[in-house]
Amino acid sequence: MPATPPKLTPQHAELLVLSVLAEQPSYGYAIAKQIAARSDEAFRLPPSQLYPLMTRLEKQGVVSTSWEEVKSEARRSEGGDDSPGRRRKWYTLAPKGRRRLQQSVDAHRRFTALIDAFIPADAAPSPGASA
Amino acid sequence: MSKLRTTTDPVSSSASDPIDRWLDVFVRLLRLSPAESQRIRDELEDHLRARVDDLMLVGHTEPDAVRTAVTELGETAELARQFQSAAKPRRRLTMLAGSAIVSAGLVVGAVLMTQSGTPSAAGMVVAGGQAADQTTEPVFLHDIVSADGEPDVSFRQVVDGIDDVIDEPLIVHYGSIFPDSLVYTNIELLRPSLPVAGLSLEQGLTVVSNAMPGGYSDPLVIQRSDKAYELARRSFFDRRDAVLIEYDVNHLLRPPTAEAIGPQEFSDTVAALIEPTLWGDRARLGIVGTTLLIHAHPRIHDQVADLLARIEDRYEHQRAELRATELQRSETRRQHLLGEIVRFERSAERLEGELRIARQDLFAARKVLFRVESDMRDREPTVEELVEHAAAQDEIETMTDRVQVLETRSGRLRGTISDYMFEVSSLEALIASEGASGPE
Repeated sequence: MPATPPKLTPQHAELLVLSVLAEQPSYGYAIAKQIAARSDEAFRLPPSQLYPLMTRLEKQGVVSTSWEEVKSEARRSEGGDDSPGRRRKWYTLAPKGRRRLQQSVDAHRRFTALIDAFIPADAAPSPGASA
Repeated sequence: MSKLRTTTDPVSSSASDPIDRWLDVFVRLLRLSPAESQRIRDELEDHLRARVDDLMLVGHTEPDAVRTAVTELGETAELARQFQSAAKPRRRLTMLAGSAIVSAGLVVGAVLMTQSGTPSAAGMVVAGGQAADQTTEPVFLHDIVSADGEPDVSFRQVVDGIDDVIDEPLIVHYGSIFPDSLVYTNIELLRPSLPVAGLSLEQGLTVVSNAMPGGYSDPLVIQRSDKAYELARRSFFDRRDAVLIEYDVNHLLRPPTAEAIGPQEFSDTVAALIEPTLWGDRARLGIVGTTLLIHAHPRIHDQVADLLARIEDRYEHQRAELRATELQRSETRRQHLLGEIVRFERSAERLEGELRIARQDLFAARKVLFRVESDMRDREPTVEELVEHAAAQDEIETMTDRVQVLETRSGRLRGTISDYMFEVSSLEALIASEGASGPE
């Protein structure tokens, strides 16, 4: 039976989003794709979780935003589309966001170190668990 | 800033575009400003169309890709609620006289990342997240227990307990919490301990409030501003943050299925349904013409807006039911008329058959009369001819009357059929237009 995919807590979701944005500015759909791809599809951030989170991060000044006009990929590949397209919202990590990311990473490391301290040194990983 | 809708993109806006239709429904569920709603719409539209592009690149048909992309968003109303909750504007608060700033400490202990805050057996709390972060609510880390040697918890310890889990200044409006005292922080709450570990600030403050005089009727509330938390009695925030909002209730005074409601009666109903004890001291409400004026805290305005929206929904539901009843009545009448038209057509045909025969009989009688009169023109008529002439005249008179009666009845019947057909076509037009404008 396949393992149940791990569920992202709000804190984990924020940590992943900030980590993605630390590398480069991005937009909602691309952030969700990036998280899914980098976790080998183990983590999925649904729009119902992603966009409210992005709204909160924006209101807190953790990310800054800008808008860009884009065309549909399908239409662009067909060529010759001069319609105004749709608007895309880009997110960039603000200085406050870098501090928030650092705090989150530190807290995460403390937490995993605390948990690791309880695990017997000779505990073997279960078959199929990733290294 | 709203954008112009494009009509050339194959998966972009048009009246028949399913993504646009879904977005229209979604935006209607948001109770946000038009500008905010438009921004959310634009971002979700980008998400949906990017997803559709991706799905089409891996072989989905466009309708299937659209269906999959929309389904992945989840339940529409719940999604709208989440967006609305995240987008709700927060208000900047100002500190008033009688307040004090307590420097907030850093979050002490491990800010542990777990799915939900749960107290351990040893009383240690695994916090649900970093306190000042709006994505998670601050959680009391420890129970509040009286200091060594002291019988009761002091209010200072409550403040310290809050201080432990927020990383921004805490403004305590002591004057509102202890209006009769000058020495605030050492006031004892007459409890050896307050079990708040693992509770959210709001839940924990309920425990604290219940331990304080007047705490049931006017509990402690913590409110978040942009740069600080504020702690006070609810009545304090109710008075200080009250804003005046006008609600046009004209359309709500005329229920579809009942007598019109008087403006004052409507206003009294609103007051009775929303925290009835609030009005007068902490909030004010009045009605001028058909405009409801409410001066109250934003949380009360949220309740008012919700109540008015519920009334409006109820009216809309009643209107829909009335429309459905009317449609049913129209359809029943149409069916009845169609049956009557068939029945009357048969009668008309029968009458017209009788009319044809009567006219033939009349024609035959006239021929007889004409022949007899021709025969009698140049000589004296015989007795038999006189009898035949009188009989032909009687027959003509009788048949003329009959033809007239039949023509009148047939004309009336045809007129009724024509009226019924006109009514049927009117009903069909009405049914078609109601069916098109009504809910699916």
